Amino acid sequence: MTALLLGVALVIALLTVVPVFRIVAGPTIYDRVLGVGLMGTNAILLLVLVGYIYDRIDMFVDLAVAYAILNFVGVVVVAKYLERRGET
Amino acid sequence: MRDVVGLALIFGGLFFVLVSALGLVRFPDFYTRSHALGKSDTLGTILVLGGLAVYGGLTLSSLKLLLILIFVGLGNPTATHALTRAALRSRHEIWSRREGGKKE
Amino acid sequence: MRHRNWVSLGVQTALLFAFWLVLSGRYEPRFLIVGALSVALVLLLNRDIFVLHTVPESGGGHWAVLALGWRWLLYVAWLLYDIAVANIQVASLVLHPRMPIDPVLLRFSVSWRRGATQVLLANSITLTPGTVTVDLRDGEYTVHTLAPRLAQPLVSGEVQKRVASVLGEEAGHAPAVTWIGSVGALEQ
Repeated sequence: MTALLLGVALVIALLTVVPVFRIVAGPTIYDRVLGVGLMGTNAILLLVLVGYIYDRIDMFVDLAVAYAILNFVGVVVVAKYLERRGET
Repeated sequence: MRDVVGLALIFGGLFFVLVSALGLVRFPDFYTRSHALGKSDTLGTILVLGGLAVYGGLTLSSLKLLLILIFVGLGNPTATHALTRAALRSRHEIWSRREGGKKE
Repeated sequence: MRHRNWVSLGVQTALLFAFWLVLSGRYEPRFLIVGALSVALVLLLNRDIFVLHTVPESGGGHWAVLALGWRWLLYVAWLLYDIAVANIQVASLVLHPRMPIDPVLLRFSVSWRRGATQVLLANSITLTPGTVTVDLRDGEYTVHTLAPRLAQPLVSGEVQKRVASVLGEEAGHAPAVTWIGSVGALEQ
């Protein structure tokens, strides 16, 4: 079972390459922020999976809660800032 | 039994996380890509977290997982909306097949 | 200012305290006391949105909040089904080799004035098949859709009716929808 979860965690870790590509390639600032958001949700999943793999889920789930809240607030704040500034 | 259901949910979720990553690469412009984050990634995350909660059984950690699940389910669409609105209000043009536009 | 609904206040206090219990995971008296104080503080700071504005405006008395909870459950079940459909559609579009998408913007208005209903509709649109809410101003929605056929439930007013029934608003008839091909055309 742990091996399967490790496999899932590996696939998600590899998939993180895609948002990184989006952050680097753009082309607009909105694409980059979108990439950051996707990376954030992948990070939440990785944290929880790692928690199960190391059998320390009670600790990792708290990190995941904090990360979920930070990720949401971060994207919304950047979006608000971009809207005020009003340019790409 | 619980393991099987949990694993099925996790792998289902993995599929949608995969789709959202593919969407982020393949879709032609920002607005279409935002569909990938607003929908596929939200469902993928919900399914994986739900699967892990089922796998873990009824513990405090699973309840916290459900909290994250609800939070992502509400937060992801809202964040997507905030971003697309910022893009629209700063006049970022949409990709349209009729314009014969090519991929950004 | 409307009168305070004590049942509604009780339900909210219970939910917030349950939230505290789940996050803290410690049940010694002093942690419970800190939790109770935090709940009181949160309710006090957010009294405008928590206590007053969730009181249903039309009928049902104090217990209407429980009926509201039941309608919420039905709504969430419908939403989950729709999310599943939405994702299979997006997945098939993403995986399709030629990617048959034809993105357009569409714009329509609702007559509701309450913020909660408008926000609920915006999030529902984002989670349902092929559509993302792009802008919302004074009840006027701008929606981006991957293909016009995917926006059918919005054009027929089905989604609006569902959302209206949850929070007890007037459903109204099918909205007047304008299709817009580009952001440039939106200006006029």
